[in-house]
Amino acid sequence: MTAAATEPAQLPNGQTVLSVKHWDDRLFSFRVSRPASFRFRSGEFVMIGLPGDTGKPILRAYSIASPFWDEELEFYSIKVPDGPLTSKLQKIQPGDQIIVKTKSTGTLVIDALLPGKRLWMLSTGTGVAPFASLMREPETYEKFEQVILTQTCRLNSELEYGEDLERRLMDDPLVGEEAQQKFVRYATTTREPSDRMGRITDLMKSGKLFEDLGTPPLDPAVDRVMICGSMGLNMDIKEILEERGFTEGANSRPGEYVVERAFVD
Amino acid sequence: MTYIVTENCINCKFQDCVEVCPVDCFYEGENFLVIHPDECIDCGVCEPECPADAIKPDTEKGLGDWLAINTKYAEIWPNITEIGTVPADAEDWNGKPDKASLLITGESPAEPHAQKPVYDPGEAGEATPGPGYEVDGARIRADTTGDGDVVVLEPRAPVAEDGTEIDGLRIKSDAQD
Repeated sequence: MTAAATEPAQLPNGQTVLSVKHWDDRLFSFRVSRPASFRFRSGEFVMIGLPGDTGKPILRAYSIASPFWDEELEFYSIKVPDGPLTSKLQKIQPGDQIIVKTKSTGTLVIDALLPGKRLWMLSTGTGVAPFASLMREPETYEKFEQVILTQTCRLNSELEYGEDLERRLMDDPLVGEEAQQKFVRYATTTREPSDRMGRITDLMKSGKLFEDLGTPPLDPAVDRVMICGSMGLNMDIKEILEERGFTEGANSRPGEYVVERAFVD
Repeated sequence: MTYIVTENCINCKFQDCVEVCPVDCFYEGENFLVIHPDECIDCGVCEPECPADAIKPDTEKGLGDWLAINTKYAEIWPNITEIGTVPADAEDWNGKPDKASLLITGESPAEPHAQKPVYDPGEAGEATPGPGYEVDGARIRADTTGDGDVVVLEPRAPVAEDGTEIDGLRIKSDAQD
């Protein structure tokens, strides 16, 4: 390959891939350069993608998995063998370009929650991505006394990214010290045997989640909940929360919980 | 599925939805907004942002007429990507019943306020002029002498397609990878 051939063509809204990590045969994360003028709130998502065969870009919504202050942007994705985007996206290498649109949006932001004491971030699969951003956001620790991240996956290998996030968080120069005091990660599997098994909704209903963590059951007076998972998870948790008197928040009217679907699940 | 704008947007047009849409799929009429069903990615962010609760998933029953209106006018009206002026009496109209007959489509000279302002499609520039509009340079202008259809809304009982109930939200299988 000649030197010229390795030079990627400049794309409109193109950003350069800086690193790629494959977690297993169906999950990978990658970091790209950040557009100079791009501002977002930790927890938001953007449209990213690649040029399509017909010239029209193939774009999908991806949560930004890095906090607002990070110089790079991180994303976490599944690989679908015949998926229009991820079949190609999984092949990106450092130096390649991907499209990153800069209209960020989303409801999994601290602004959409009323003040509270305990922040619950409930996720399945790649739904952990927006929380990867929020768990490194200084405001998260300014606003809450305790921060609990739950992630439920089928297999142990699917929890490795979350494990790595926790390790990186504890060493984080900005929030590491506070996170050591306030942050708890609670991971479960539903198929492959592990130390903790079960759907998070079942663990909530049985009370085991609260028993394990040593917290009282969910109370709209003090608990704030962010949900990002499959449509099934989102609906089930919404039901549990509304039964307990939680109301859904949005940017224009903060509430006790917010929900967003994990776009790729 | 897609999200769609429904009756309570009429004369309120708060436009909070426009600010949060990641794919800029809202289109603007004089007193109403619509979502382009083919452009909406079902992210659902706009739904709780609407102060008038006018945005619904099209999987909710009885919204067939509104889906048709969103589909039709998203092809005709200009794209809107940033919040504009909110009507001064928006709050007064919020929750008023039977607003459907007040919808201004820009297609009939008989409609009140048929003299529409000149729209600037701006960056989007791709707004497709349809019946009732003519392209004037880079701008799209309402054709006030047009004789397009007037949309008539009639309440319709929800019809189950095959007798089975559609429960909750469905996800378009090809919406995402």
